Amino acid sequence: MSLRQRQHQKATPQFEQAIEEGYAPAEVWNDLGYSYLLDGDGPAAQRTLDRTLELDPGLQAGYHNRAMVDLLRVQKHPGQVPGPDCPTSARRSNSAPARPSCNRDAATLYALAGQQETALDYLRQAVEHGSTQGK
Amino acid sequence: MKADYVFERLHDKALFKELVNKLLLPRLLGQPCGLLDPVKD
Repeated sequence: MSLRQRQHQKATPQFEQAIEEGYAPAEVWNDLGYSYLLDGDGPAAQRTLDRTLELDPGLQAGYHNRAMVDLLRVQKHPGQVPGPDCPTSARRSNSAPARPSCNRDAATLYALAGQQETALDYLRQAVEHGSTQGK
Repeated sequence: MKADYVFERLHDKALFKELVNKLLLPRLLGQPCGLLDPVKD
């Protein structure tokens, strides 16, 4: 697989073709989103990863990749907080299982956005709902 | 409670920044991403 060889530019059309031809499980959408992420195409990565999480709200890698999209945005626009659609903000906890790592990622994003108190709130949730180390 | 004590300390901006840079951010950046890529290089 091209991603393993870090040839994401070759992988991108392969994933797009797979989806176009109907082989479209959440894992393929996730890897397409990851591929867009490596390409630096944030908007495409966000759309694709949102679709990933619609298909499988329990897919851990999708959440992490989606957090990476938000991380890139926060780094590009300091002070901009994750949007209400951000899966890592744990605001989707009604539709997705609560997971400590999402709260931890949200804490990181809010910290980078300069919102220390909000970040601490999420970090506390991560601690209360499980370990801050595993998934 | 130990957790309360830790969180109280984390209101210190310098300490919090250190936590973010040394623990939280590396964890976010180090997460696995590709699912169809099971073989580790």
